Amino acid sequence: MDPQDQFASPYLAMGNNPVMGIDPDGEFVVTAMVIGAVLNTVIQGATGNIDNLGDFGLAMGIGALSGAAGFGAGQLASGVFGASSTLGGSILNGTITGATGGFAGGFVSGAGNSWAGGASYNSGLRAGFQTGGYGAITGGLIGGISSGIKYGKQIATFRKGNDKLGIQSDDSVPVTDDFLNKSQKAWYPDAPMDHVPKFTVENVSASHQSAMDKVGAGARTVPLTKLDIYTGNSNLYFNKNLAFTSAKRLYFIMGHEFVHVSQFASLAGQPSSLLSQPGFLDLLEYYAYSYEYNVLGSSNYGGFTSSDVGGLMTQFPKYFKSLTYINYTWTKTVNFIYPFK
Amino acid sequence: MRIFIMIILCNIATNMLSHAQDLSLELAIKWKNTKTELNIPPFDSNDSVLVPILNFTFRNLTKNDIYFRNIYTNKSGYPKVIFASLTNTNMDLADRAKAHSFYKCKSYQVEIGESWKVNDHGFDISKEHELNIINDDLWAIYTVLQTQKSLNNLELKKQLSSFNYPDKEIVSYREAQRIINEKKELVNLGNNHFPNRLLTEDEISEKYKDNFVFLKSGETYKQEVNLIGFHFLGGNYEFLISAESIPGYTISKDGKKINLPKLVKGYQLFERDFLTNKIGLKIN
Repeated sequence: MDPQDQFASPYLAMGNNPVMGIDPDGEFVVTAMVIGAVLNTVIQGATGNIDNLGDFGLAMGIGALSGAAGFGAGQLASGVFGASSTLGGSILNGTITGATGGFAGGFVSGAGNSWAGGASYNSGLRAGFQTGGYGAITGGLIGGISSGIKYGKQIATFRKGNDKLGIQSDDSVPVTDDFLNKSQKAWYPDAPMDHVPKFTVENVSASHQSAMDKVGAGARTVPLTKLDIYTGNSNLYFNKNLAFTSAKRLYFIMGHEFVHVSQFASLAGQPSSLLSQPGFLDLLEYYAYSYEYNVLGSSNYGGFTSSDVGGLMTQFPKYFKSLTYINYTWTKTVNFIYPFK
Repeated sequence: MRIFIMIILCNIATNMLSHAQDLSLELAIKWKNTKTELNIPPFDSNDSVLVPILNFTFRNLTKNDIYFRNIYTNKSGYPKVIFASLTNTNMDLADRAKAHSFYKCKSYQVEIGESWKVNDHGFDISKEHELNIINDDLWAIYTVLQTQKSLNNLELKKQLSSFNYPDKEIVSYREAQRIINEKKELVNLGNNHFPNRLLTEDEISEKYKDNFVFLKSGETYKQEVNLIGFHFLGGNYEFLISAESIPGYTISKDGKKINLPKLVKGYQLFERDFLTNKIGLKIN
């Protein structure tokens, strides 16, 4: 963790987020291409520009390219501008992201269709800029409005969570199991507590406490085994010296560790030797940090780059899909979203 | 600190004579004086360190030529240890290895198998339990050692912060992993990711050969494992093989058991009980 939130990121060009900028399976870009292909074909068909199979294929191809361009540019803009801590900033970011994607998609579509229809190079360019302009206006409006709404929801739930616990986000919080349990219920009401026999800061053994202090750790998740097989349960220990310095910090740590709890729950029945494989720990940590950064709004992404993620995907194709936080329903129902980067 | 006592608990030599139809695996420890560039407490990088080495000696006491799954398959010469917990820290792994605890005067049992696990002596693993925290320290130390060995194999002038080579640039553990992953073929870490189907004779004797031992009748085969990680931590250890018999199958990437062929190039598959011993190591 980064207590002062001063973690300097070398990935500014990716919006401090090498994790979010990745579409490992290419699912989203394929979806964008399919939508682009269908829409463009329908429009070209309705305007009488498709006379034969060749025209049909061309319209599909241009539409797919348009979808890919819009998706890529939107991702890039989203990465560059990232999240914002104010309503105005959030709307601005959404507007820019939407407008960029809209322009790129519109340009490819406008220019491509014109050239396919026999227009000159300059005419095609003009058509591209014109359609791109319309796309930018529409995309910008939609992006800005939806970002504003999302921000409003986040800030509302943030305040609600704070009020419920009677705390301020930057204040230190009580180092007690009682507060730990209350905050879990307020922040993560659907957390996988059935899989956590020990959830404590008051009953941490001296060896666990010492090990956490030595490496500056806020908490640790300890999976349980029986006859060398994972049972699906994990004990969760919090560091009394580091985890409670602010509500915000405890919130991030708790969310991170709950991802690990769910990961070990999904590994129930697997041999414990799984965890001797080089790189497996990185896979588990990558998704916990991704959740912390992408969903909770932490500035700590664990230092993973797209190259690291690509390596993990190649090394553990099966677990890369099964251990993502996206698979755990409780991650979608958090009622306290801290919106500030 | 430098007083070492080594105890062999069982002498299997006499037993071997009465088990002439068996395979035996003898564990022994020897000490090797080694200069190390490692900078992990309690040693400085320029110390000349007496390192305990665990020797495996397989003896084919049967009348047949046999092949079987190897017990220890890590080409690096280091044990594959399991990590016991996930620790919420951004500290580089090389620095974490340096921050290990000491375990002097404590006694542990070390189960040797596909991976190695350290438990309290006499611990009942049939109840739901946490893996002992000592596994995390061993895992960190051996992961760092293996990573540096891979960097050295690539002949790159890079080192982790837990080493003190005079002419190498320090890189983080993750950066080192990136470099190694990009040049995976050159590092040659061996191949133990078995396919989801019956292995062919050629695959067993070529592609996956490091996972198997081929012995003619009366032959022996020796392997060494570096126990320097245990030396760093201190304590009393009893090493033993966790499996009672050698499996006649492989586990595929999808977790399926795939039987091995009964005969490979004239060697019969050995898949039953074997003779072995326990060996103690005490580090004050």
